[in-house]
Amino acid sequence: VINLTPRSHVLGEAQPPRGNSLLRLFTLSVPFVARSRSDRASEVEARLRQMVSQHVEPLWRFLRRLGVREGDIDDALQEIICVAARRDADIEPGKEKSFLFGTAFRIASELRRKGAYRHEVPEEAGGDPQDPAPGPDELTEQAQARAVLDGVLEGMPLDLRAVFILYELEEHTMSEISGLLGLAQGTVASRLRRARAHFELAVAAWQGSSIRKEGMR
Amino acid sequence: VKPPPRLIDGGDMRARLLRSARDDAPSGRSRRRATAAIALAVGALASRSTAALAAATMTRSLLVKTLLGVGVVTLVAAGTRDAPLTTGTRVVHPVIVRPHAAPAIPIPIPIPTPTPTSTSTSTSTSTPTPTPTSIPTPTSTSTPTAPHPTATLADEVALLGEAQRALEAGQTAAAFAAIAAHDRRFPRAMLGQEAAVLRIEATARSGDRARAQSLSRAFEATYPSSPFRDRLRAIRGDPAP
Repeated sequence: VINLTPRSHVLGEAQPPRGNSLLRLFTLSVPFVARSRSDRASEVEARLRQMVSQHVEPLWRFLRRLGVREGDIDDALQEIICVAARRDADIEPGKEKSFLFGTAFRIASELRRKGAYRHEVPEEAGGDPQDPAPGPDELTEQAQARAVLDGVLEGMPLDLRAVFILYELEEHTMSEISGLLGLAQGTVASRLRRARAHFELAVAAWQGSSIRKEGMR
Repeated sequence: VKPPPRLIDGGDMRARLLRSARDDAPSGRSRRRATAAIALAVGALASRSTAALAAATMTRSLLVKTLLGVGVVTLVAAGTRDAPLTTGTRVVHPVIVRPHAAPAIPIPIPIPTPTPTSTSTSTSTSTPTPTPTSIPTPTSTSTPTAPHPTATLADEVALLGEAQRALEAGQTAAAFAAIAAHDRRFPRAMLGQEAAVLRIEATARSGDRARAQSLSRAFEATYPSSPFRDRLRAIRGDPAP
């Protein structure tokens, strides 16, 4: 807020001639505008640095587990930061993480629509889990398990997947997920239930497939 | 709702699969890119704040011009205060002359540069009445209809700020409306160049790039030494000189 109260009012001095009012405005407002611009940029930058410092790791994991290709995650992060810079004034103090995760989810959704995913799986496949078996024997056990998990998650609709990974992998409470994704807690509970059912079926399908493959050898 | 136990805490295949994702972490390169993105985002943000930037970058010229305007006003006001009033003399409130008034492009109106002498003449304080029986008007130095200079500039800044915010929000129609309102209210605006640049930017963002280029070239022809030339190049997508 620009305080245009003449200094003479504050100090109880005599009123200056009326003709000086324009000069007074400029001596007050021009430095203010110039200073406020640089101050604002500094404030935004400091806030962004804090947000990135605190949340870049969970954000990266969230995007990765939502299925964004590793080569695209850095670009997605950059986009999130640009959005946060533009919307800085709209982000309530204390709600930074919620804003970042909500933005990340939207960007991941857009990337899925554009097909920029590890494997494009149509939404309709959500109720019919695919066989995610990777197969290559040279994979280490850990890497193989990770590849299977990717396959299982890629068959899961994105709205279920977001809740699932925030609960099961990031170990957030349902209340926290509700805040992060802007969902009612009942919706979070419902999506988690459906996601777990999907996960259960997909893992069972993979295990059955693995057993069949073993039997064929 | 009681939260279900987490699958990852179990001992079955589901837990094993989920635990395989525990090592997910960004690389050092990803962290550095995210940090670098902050500076880019803030830089982009600053370049978008055209209205604020306008006031800042125009400080020098605006201040000089304003001081000139203030000088004119002060001189005239002092003259009117000190001049003895005689019966049959009507005091005319001095008109504020803005020698730097910048018209919105593409209307390159020649801008006269009045001298203090000519200004004093144009704001002559005496208008003799034809009959000595006429009643003298009050000697007030203010006219109710005359806009206060501070209100005028503040209103200009407010309208252009509104246009800038609309642009940032992607609402080009609202931006055009605010710029048009500015043009209507301030035909000889102090921030005419700023309004013109905003209009060009709004035109570009609305998708009419050919029109934006045409307007920006007209602007540069009208204001060859404008501090907004770099900004216009960026809007046009021209390489830096």
